[in-house]
Amino acid sequence: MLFTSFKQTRDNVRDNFSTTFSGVITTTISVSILGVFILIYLNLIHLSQTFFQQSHYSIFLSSQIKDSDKAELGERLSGIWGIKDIHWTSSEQARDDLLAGFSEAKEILEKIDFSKLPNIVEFSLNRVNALSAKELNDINKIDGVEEVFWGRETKDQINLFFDLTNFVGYFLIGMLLVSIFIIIRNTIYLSVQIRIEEIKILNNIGATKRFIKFPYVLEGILISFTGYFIAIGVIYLLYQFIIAGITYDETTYQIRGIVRFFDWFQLLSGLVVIFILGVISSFYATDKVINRLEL
Amino acid sequence: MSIESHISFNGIEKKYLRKEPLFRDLSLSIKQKEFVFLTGISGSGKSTFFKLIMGLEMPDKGSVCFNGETVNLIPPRQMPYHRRGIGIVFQDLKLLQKKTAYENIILPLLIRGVSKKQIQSGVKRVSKRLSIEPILKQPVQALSGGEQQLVAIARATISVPRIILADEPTANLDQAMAHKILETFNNLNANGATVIIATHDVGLIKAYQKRVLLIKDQNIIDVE
Ligand SMILES: Nc1ncnc2c1ncn2[C@@H]1O[C@H](COP(=O)(O)OP(=O)(O)OP(=O)(O)O)[C@@H](O)[C@H]1O
Ligand SMILES: [Mg+2]
Repeated sequence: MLFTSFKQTRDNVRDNFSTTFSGVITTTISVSILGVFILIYLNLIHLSQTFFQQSHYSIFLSSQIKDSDKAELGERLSGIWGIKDIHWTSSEQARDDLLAGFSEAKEILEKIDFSKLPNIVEFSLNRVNALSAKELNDINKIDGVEEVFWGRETKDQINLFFDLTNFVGYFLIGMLLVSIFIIIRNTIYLSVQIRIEEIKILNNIGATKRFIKFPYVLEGILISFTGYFIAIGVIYLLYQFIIAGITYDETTYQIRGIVRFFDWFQLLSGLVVIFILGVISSFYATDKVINRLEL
Repeated sequence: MSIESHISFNGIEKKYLRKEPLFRDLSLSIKQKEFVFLTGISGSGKSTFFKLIMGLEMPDKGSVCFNGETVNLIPPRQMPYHRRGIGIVFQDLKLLQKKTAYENIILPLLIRGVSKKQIQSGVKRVSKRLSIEPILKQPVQALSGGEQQLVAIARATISVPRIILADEPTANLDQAMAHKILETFNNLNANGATVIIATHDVGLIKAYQKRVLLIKDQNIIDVE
């Protein structure tokens, strides 16, 4: 049955080539727009995770740190690219801050020995990468440096930006999926339409609806797959072209290391989605015509 | 309805929209392995009679039984399996014009999902019987009326059906060919198939001493 259906599908496409062809082209265009949008979106997310993030560092210093070491540390820090808001807090300062925070219980706290409170240097780092191993090592090497803690966070503005693109994105993705559905459905619809006589004959001599429908569903899958693979090719070329265009010097060349194309999993997911779309839309189209024939 | 009867019409009334009824309280039965001619003037309902057996038309009253099954009660999902049991030559042939004779002939086997080997031997058998080997590769639209008729007969008989309905199967054929076709049906009948042939051709009917059914006055009667 599968072989028979393939032959029938081939005949359908051959007899009705211009329709099938335009179906493939429009599917390609839709998938391309959809793919480009998703690719840009994925890269924006990815970029935001690197570019639009801040690292926060806290260096704990020993309470006996020498002034000369402190000065060396200060010098080192100011030499780090992207460093911002260096803030020194001595143990005395830390103690005063703490006491101010506990207004009522102050008296009890005052009896405690605060000499154990560390000196701290805090700073932010505003750049793609966190401190490198070498930079960290240079800091750790200095006498009196006890420990370095750090964390990262995404800037607030970028979250707002993503809320917005999410909204626009879902809308656009929805619209494009619907349009792909309609394109395939209409193509198959035409294909079935010009074969109504054949379909009636097949029905008259005892073909099941499934047998009749299958070649058209195959055609739907063929159109969606062909459109998908061409579109992926188009997007890939576009991607390479754009990357080549925006990475023209040493600084921008870094972008190559950060942006990326779809990975295999994403490509496969897309294929599954387009497969389902091809099946559903062609099934829908054939069903509509065949049910009207009241076979 | 006797167990023997293969096809039975019980109190059938059939009327197309905005037309006089074709059949009124029609009852008849055809036994297994019978060879029957069905005749009547144009528009008397010969083709409609076949369509009722095929389940392509439904009676307005009464029931059509085929192999103990009531055709007008077969659910749509089961209908294809009912039709497969019948080899039919349509009056308008109903061939796929763009496909080759070969592709048309094998359709009944394809829809059954029969193996390639069986298809091959089936084509060999029917094309030899009807001497149509030379035209197998040609598209139907390139064939003469008579050749198309033979292709339709080949398609109707390739699945070795236990019943053959042939609607004017000799309409496009010369006398010699017509007799050859009738001989073929006769042989199939001898091998156990029920055969019903609708025809206008009185000469043909006379040449074979078989049961003759005549459609007359919205009924079907046996004539000698
Ligand atoms: N689908 C239909 N809708 C309406 N009327 C129909 C339909 N099919 C047949 N008829 C009418 O029913 C009558 C019988 O048609 P049918 O084809 O059964 O006759 P027939 O005996 O086969 O004629 P012929 O010898 O010309 O083939 C005709 O008057 C025809 O116009
Ligand atoms: Mg007729």
